[in-house]
Amino acid sequence: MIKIDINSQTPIYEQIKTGFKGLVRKELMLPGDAAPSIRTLAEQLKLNPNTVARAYRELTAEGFFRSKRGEENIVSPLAKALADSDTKNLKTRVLEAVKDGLKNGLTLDDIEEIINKIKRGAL
Amino acid sequence: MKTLIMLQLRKNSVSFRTLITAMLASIPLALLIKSGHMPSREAVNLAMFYWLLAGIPLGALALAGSSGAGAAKETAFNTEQILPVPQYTLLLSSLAAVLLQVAALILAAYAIMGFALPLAEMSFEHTQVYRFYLFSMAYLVLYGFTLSYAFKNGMAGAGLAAAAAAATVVPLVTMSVFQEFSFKILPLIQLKLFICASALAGGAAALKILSGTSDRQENKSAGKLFAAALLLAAPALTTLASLAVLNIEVRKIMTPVPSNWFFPNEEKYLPGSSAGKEAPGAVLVQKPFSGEVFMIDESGRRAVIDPGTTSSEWGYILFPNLKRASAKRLTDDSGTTWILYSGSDGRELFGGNMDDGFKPRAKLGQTWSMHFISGKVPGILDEREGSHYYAALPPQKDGLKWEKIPGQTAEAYGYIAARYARKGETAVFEKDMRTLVSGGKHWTLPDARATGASVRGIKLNDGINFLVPRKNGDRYTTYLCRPDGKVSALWPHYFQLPGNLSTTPDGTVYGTLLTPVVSGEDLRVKSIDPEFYILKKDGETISGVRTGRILEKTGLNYEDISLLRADDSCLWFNAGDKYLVKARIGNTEDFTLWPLPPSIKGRSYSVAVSASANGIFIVAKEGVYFMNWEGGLKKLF
Amino acid sequence: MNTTNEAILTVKGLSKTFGARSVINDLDLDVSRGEVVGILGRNGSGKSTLFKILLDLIAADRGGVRVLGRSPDGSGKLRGLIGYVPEKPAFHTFMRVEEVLELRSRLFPRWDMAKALALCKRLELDINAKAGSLSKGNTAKLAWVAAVAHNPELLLLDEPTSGLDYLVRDHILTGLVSELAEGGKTILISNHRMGEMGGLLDRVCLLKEGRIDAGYSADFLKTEVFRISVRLEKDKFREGPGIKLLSRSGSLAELAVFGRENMEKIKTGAEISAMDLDTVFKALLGE
Repeated sequence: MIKIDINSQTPIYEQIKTGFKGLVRKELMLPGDAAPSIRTLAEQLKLNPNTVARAYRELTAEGFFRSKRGEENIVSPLAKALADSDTKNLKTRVLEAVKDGLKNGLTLDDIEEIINKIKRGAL
Repeated sequence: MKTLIMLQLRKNSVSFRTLITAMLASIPLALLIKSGHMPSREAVNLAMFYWLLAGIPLGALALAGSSGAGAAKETAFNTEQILPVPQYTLLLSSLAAVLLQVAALILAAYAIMGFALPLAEMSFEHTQVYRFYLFSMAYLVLYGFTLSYAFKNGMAGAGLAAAAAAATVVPLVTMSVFQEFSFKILPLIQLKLFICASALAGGAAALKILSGTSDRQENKSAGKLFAAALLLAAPALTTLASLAVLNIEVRKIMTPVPSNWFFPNEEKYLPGSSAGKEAPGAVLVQKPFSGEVFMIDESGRRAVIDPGTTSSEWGYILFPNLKRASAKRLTDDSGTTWILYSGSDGRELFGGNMDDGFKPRAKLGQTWSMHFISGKVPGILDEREGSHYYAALPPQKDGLKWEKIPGQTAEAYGYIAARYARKGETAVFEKDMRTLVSGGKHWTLPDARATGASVRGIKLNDGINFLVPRKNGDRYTTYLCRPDGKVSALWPHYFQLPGNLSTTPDGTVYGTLLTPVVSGEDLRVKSIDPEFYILKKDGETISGVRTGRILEKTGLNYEDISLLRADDSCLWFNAGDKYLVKARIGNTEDFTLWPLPPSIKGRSYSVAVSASANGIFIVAKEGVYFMNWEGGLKKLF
Repeated sequence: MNTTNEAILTVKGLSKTFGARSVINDLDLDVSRGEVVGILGRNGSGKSTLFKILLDLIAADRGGVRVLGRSPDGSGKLRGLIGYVPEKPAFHTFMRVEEVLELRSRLFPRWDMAKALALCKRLELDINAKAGSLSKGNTAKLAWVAAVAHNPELLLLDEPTSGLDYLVRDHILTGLVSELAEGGKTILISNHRMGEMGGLLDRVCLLKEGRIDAGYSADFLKTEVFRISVRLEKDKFREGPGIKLLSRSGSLAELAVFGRENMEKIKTGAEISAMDLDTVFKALLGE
């Protein structure tokens, strides 16, 4: 469910966080669902449990997860909002960047080239 | 460790089971192929015996070799060395497993034989080898294992181990046999202990060094490898060196020449000679390694009788081939010394003297019963096929002329006495067994006859006397018959020359009575205290001289003490060829001891000490010495 | 992060020569508790020798080694505290798997037979199978069980996934993660395909010419290594530490650049792209 690209230049713990946010946004995980245990997720993704632990800690700190009655890492009601805002933020930022580029001399073709490069996995 | 040994036993179990199965299968096989009249027990014993001699040693080498080579393989590293045990411990456990398995095989074979060796079926060589068997087996296993491990090759290791074992054990066996049959040169007990210890401990230590350089890839310094090689070679080097030392030492050895090894008959009733007493001024010495025999006198002058030969080349590998000579001598009135000699080249009669040397004068036959007779002429008496033969000396141009003497022993001696005895030297009984007659004289003896044989005279200062034992009830008395015709009682025991009386070179006659010293109430024999009965040349007799204190001081046995000389105030004894003892007449507790140089105690009655007029010759191990009557020692040769 | 900064393994000035060949040459290495360290090196670079010295199987010529508070002394006790998976695991062919484990239970001080049997079950390893009849994959599984069943604080793995099929490799990696999740374990791995360990490693050490040249944190290798295409005459660059030539064809060349600061050294116009871990490792080795 969560996909990690170990070759990516994004730190893995970031990818885990983004992964969870995506799951919640796509409503594959709902508030009240428990995230898999650190151990289970680490085993599944072949990751160092410390890395998973770090991701969970930050998600908990951000309010994405919360503890409830002895259970840990439960999706909180705020999660969707956080995910959305993250995404909203992201989308806004991309839009601004493209606008900026176009204003400063890039053509739409240039923008397309960039997207193609990403698709090819070169960046 | 126990876990590891069990593991190793399991690893070897296939080979082990093959061996034990083969061994058990040989039982029915032996019963099948045995000849009809051989008892089954014997056939089975023989089969097991050959397993012990051949099958088990080979099996031990195979087990040790494959185990040792296996321990050096890569797979051993991956399967066993990664376990949390020291690598040397792994090696020891492998070794222990093989030792246990070989021990089991030996025990099984021994049990099948009924826990007893079939000594009857064993040849002489076999008997010698079995004494070293367990050591040899342990050696084979330890070395087979260590060498296979060192060279990472079972066959090479096993082959080298077999060679090392042979190089160590074969010399040990030959040296043991040599010392058992000849004489002690090396301290064999200490040597064996050292070799055992060095082989087993040294082997284990070498294994530890090799474990370090091999498994643990420690720095293969030349020092370490040399140390390991030296530890492994030490036992073999020791035995080979010992064998070399034995060979070198044996070449130097000198022994006295016994007079009765090949000429056992003592002259019985006629005067003759025995070596040492007849020619007091010289003694016969042999070097058994080369077979050289020579006569040497008080001044150190030598005359060679038999030059001997150089030994065969095999001497350095097997035990030395020793030559044994034996000789009897007689010096006649003309001063010629005759020697009946049996040496490596056969038997010959030699004649000569110290000034001119000795030459062979006639060949002698292969009989076992020659001796000299001295009388009007010197001669040789021989007993062949139940008859007696006599030859006069000197021999003719074409050899000795033997004439047959009629009659059985007593008559033969009587015949010779009549023909050849010097006047007055022998006395014979008249038919009444009371009157003794000799050279015109006669004596009448009291009591009853104890022996009717002719009596040999003894030359005392007053002439020829005769000692005759007589019987009264169950008590014996020995009487002295003097030249003046008188008969006096001498000693209250049975004494007879040459039976239990001996003479010394200075003319003293003596006999020994062995009296058991009984302790207190329970009457157990504490010791035997020899009592000497002495008749000096001046006619004085001394009875009941006890030498118990001397024996105690010297730590010797009653058999080891003999009289050498008697003068006015003192007696001289030979104590076991180890001491010259001078004791006071009348108080033998007052004595002086002079230690003698060590000599080889021969097998048969050969005595290293021979008395002469001025002192004693001592044929010591590495030289001939002369000691005067006051203990002054000088080396002659 | 549970770093207690306790030194699990300290190697200083280690040297070992075999005859004339110097295999390990003044090697230093420090590993703290909880770290997952990869040892990267070409074949014959001395990895196996290093492991054997750490395991007290081979004597070093020089240098200090302390593992779990002890120095190798030839007694083999150290091996009872380390979980070791050798490059070519081997077991006594006549023993069944259960007997292999039983032997170890008698020799390893902290052996946990319940854990061993549970692992065998999880890995689908038949305890009645004879060790000699096991496939390569099953042998690897047994080696794994043997290494971890005594709960060692340090794991030493020499090519633990080499030659194994996907499923077995999966089992091994999952097992590794599981051990890490228990907490307090330190792992030292040498692997050909270090890339597949990317998610587990904290640090990678390069073993070259008998010494450990450099250690790179895993994060660094993932985020700070770039592939740059340059035109040879036009774009100036100098090869050196941090800048390595990957390939060239005609007038084009591909460079691997380690660290953002080295990026500045290249006059650009060049095409910058990310580099996957395997290529990163290949670049490191290729020097």
